[in-house]
Formats: sequence, structure tokens, C-alpha cells
Amino acid sequence: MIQHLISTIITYLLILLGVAFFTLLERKALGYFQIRKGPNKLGIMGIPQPLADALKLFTKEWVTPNFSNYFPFILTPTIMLILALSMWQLFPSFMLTSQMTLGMFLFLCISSLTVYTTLMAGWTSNSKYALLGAIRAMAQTISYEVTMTLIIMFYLFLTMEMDIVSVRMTNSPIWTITLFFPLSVMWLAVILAETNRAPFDFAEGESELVSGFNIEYGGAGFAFLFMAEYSNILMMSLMTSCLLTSTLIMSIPVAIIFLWARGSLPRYRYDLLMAMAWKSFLPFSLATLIALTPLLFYF
Amino acid sequence: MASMRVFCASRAAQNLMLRAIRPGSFAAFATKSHWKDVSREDIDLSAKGIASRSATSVFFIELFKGFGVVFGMIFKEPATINYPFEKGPLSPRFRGEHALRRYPSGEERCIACKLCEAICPAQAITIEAEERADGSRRTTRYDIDMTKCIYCGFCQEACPVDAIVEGPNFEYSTETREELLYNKEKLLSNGDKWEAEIAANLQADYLYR
Amino acid sequence: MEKVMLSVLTACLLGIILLVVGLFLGVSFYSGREKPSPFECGFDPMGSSRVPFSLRFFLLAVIFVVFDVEIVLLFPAVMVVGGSWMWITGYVALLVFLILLLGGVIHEWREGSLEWEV
Repeated sequence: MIQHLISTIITYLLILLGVAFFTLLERKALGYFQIRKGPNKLGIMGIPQPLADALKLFTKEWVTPNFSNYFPFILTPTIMLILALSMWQLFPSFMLTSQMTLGMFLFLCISSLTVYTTLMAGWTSNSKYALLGAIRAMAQTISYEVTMTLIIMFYLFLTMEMDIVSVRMTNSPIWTITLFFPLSVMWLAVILAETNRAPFDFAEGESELVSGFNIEYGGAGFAFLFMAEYSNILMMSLMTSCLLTSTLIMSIPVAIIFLWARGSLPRYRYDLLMAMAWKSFLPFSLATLIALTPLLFYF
Repeated sequence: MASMRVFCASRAAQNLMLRAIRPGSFAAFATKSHWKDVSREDIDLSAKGIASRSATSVFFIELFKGFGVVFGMIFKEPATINYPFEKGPLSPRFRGEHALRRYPSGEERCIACKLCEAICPAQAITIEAEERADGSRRTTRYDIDMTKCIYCGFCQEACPVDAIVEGPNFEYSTETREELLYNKEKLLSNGDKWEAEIAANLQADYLYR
Repeated sequence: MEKVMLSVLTACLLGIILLVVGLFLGVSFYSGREKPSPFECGFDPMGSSRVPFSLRFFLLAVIFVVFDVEIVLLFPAVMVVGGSWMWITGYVALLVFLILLLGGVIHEWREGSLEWEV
């Protein structure tokens, strides 16, 4: 038990550190994509920049808007961070302190809970922009969740296990990304939409909603929301590397694809996004499952 | 599905469709007329055209092209300059922080004509003048409210003796608002500090003044 | 199970520590009329911020619930599919279920529930 506690704490702390430097990577990458330098003043080449950012955010005043629901407003970012962190107990290393038989199930449960926190953050801040952003984010996330679950189920049907380490092991002779490539491309689009990232970042469509559901948050609250978002991105990249390839190192290119897509693609249109989820992705992933089932019987 | 159906259409049908879409196009090609058609290009209905268009949409060619372009930008020289250490070029006409100049003898140039005060559109300048002991007319008070100033440069245009000028300095941010209410002493010290640059700028621009 | 609980509790502890630190460091000293007012583009906020939202979002949530429940029903199949203990009728049942699900999508589509333009 003590072993597990220590391993968990170390995982969480390292994830927080990883999130911090992932934000630096994003700022640097976006900078060079746009022919400018990212943060390059602080320390050596701006490497301690995320630490300075964290320090700045935590020392900022935390203002609660008039007529906001105080306790939900304060607690929501924390809950979001807790959910994002507790997903990382699934980290599929080969030296586990706890092997979860239904790991993938836990991942789905926790990742669907994050919708509530988004909605709560938008609703409690008593701001129209926040509410609109939260509703959009919620609709988008739940639409893509159906497809995400179905795609995950396709790969789980191949492995017949829900434990993430076993899923990884199944991939090791030949990567399942080679098995059905269009589904993998679809999975990439789905995880972009699921984490509310560009080009599907309607939760914070800054052209019309200024910042979306987190508009009233400043200081530490914003820092929590930010950390949770990037932690979710890293988690999704990890899931991609587990489901589609066998090596964890492949999560790095996937995380970079998140940044690359943000650097290159313009924002999609909301009704098209919904149409894509329900009229294209959902029938396609269902048809894939239908095609797979007789094959499973045959083999 | 629709593209497949078109794909299976016979060549004769293609020609018919082409004629239906652009009746005059063949004649135009034959005579090599001088006009250039800039409207949308004909949809290529040959098998090759259809195949290439379907390949473009199926394999997300344009998406990947865009990704490639963005990736290529990494290797370009960043367009930014490393600001506090290197600065961009300034025109001799650059209008920055104000300064009151002196003659080489050390006598201040301003004769308190109040033309600058009169022309200032933001009414940022306040001047009070008195006769000095030697009988010359000088200012006793020359204030510029830098928070009001809009940096239009009318004051230096109006000045008959090139006393008030806007120098090349643009880094004079302060921590309090009061520090931006400049008085005569501050302006004169600015003039002393930036005299070399100001004189060079005036010299560079004298043909057009 | 205890280990999952332990991990979640650790995350809670970490989150609460960070929250306390954030609240402690982020005490808001001065508060005027403008500062705590909800964000608005240049004017005072008018009316309640809990604005009514489009019914499309509600309808979407209902459709989502339907599909999510069916997907939950599908999940036990993951553990048995492909194994030697799954009978051919199991596969047929799974196939029929999936086809019904696809039929449901097509029905919703035809009915117009998936159209976003109102």
C-alpha cells in the first residue's frame, strides 16, 4: 500500500511537471510555427518560463464575480484538476503497483465526468459568455464521447481485455494502427474534439466567446483549469499510444500533433462539427464494429 | 458514390457535359483570343481528373499540405527582433519623448512665444513667461503632460527656434502617473541628454523642414 | 479497489493543497463595483446571466443518453468476445444489437434529430 502511495504521488507530481513543460513546448512550437520566437528571455532560452507562469498565476488575486455560486465556483477548478490527475493512476508502465482489470473502464468513467466540471464552471460564474461556452463544450464533448467509446471498443475487441497494460502488450507484435488506418485518423479527430482543442475549440471560441467557460477565472483557478486541460491532452496522447501502438514513446508525437493542429488548422464550424460527430463518425465506427464481429467469430 | 457514377460515364457523355457547361470554350481555344478567363476552371471529368480529385479528398492531401507548410515555417528565420538587446531602425522623423534644446553656448532656445501651447491639439503644454534680469523673454514654467500628449509633432513644427523637439527616445515608461507630468527642468535635461541624436536627426531632415 | 480509492484520495489531497495555497495567495484585497462584475464587452451586464439556451442542446443530450446506455450494454461483450466460451448465438446477438444501434442512428438521421439548423 505504501508502495502504491509513493508511486501515485510521484506520478502525480511528475505529471504536473510534465504539464508545465508541455505548455512551454506549446508556446515555443506555436512561436516557431508563426515565424517568431516563443518565450526566450527567462533563464536559459526561457526554460524556467512555466515555473514563473505558475508563480505569477498563484499570486494573482482570485476574484469571484457578483452573484456567482461561491463554493461551486471555487471548487470546480479543483475538481477538474483532481479528475485529470486521478486518471493518471492508469499509467501503464511495466512496473505497476496496481494492475487494474477494468482500467479502460475507469478511464471512460473519469473522462466523462469532466463534462460536469466544464458545465459547472460555466454555470456558476454568472457570466453569459461562460455559460454559452460551457454549453457548447458540453454538447461537443458528449457527442464525441459516443464515438470515442465505440472506437476504443473496436480496439478492445481485438485485445479482449480492458487492462491497459494488456492492451499495450497486444499491440507489441504488430501495431494496431496498421490494421485499420482510417479509424486511427478518426480517433485523432475525436481526441482533438474531446479535449476541446483547436480546430474544435468551440469552448473558447475567442472570436465570439472571448474565452469560453473559463472567462471569469483568474489566478489559481485559471491555473487549475489550464493544468487539467493539458493533463487531459497528455492523457489522450498516452491512450493513443497504448491503443494504436505499443510503445509509450509514441505519445510524444501525438501530443505534438495537438500543437501542430493548433498551429495549422482554422476553427471548424459548430453545426458541421455536430454533423461530423453524429452523421459521419458514429455510423462509421458502428459499421466498423459490425464488420469486425463476424471476423472475430471466424478467427 | 456520386463520383463513382460519374466515373462510369462514357466518354461521349463527358464531351456532351463539357459542351453543356462551357459552350464557347472550344472556339476560344481554337482562335487563341486575347482575353483570359479568370472564372472557375472547368471540372475535369476525365478519369484521371476524377481519380486525382477523389485521392485528394480521401487522403486529406490538402490537410497534409497545410501541415507541411506550417512545419516548414519552423526553419525560417523568426521575424522578431530580440528587443531590449537589439532595436529596430528609427526614422529621423520619429516622434518620441519631448526635449527642450539649448544653444551651443548653453543658453536655452525657448523664447516663450507659446506657439506650441496654442497649436497643441491635446492641450498638454502649459507655459508661463516672464522677463529675465538681462531683458530677454524666457519661460518660468514649461510643463508637458505626457499622459495627454498624442505625439502629433505639431509643437516642433510650430517652434520658430527648434527649441521643443520630439526626440528618438521611446523608452521612458514610469511606475507612477506623476512621473509623466514633465516640467521645464526635466525637459531641459532630456535635451542635454539626447542633444547629439536630436541634432543629427534635424540635420538629416533639414531639406524638408 | 482500495488502491483506486487511495489514488483518487491522493489526487484530492493534492488538489485541496493547491486550492488552499491558491486561496491563501490569491486573497482579493480591494473590491470595487466594477471588479467583481461579470465580464461584458464594455458595458454593465444586463439581466440574469443564466440565459435560456437552445433546445437543440437538450435534444442532443437526450440522444447522447440513449446511445451511451446502449454502449454500456455493449461493454460486457469486450471481455468475452473472441474467447472460446462465446457461442455462435452470442455473436449473432452482438451483431443484431450493433445493427439495431446503427438502425437507431439512421432512424434519428431520417427523423431530423441530428440536424443542427433550426
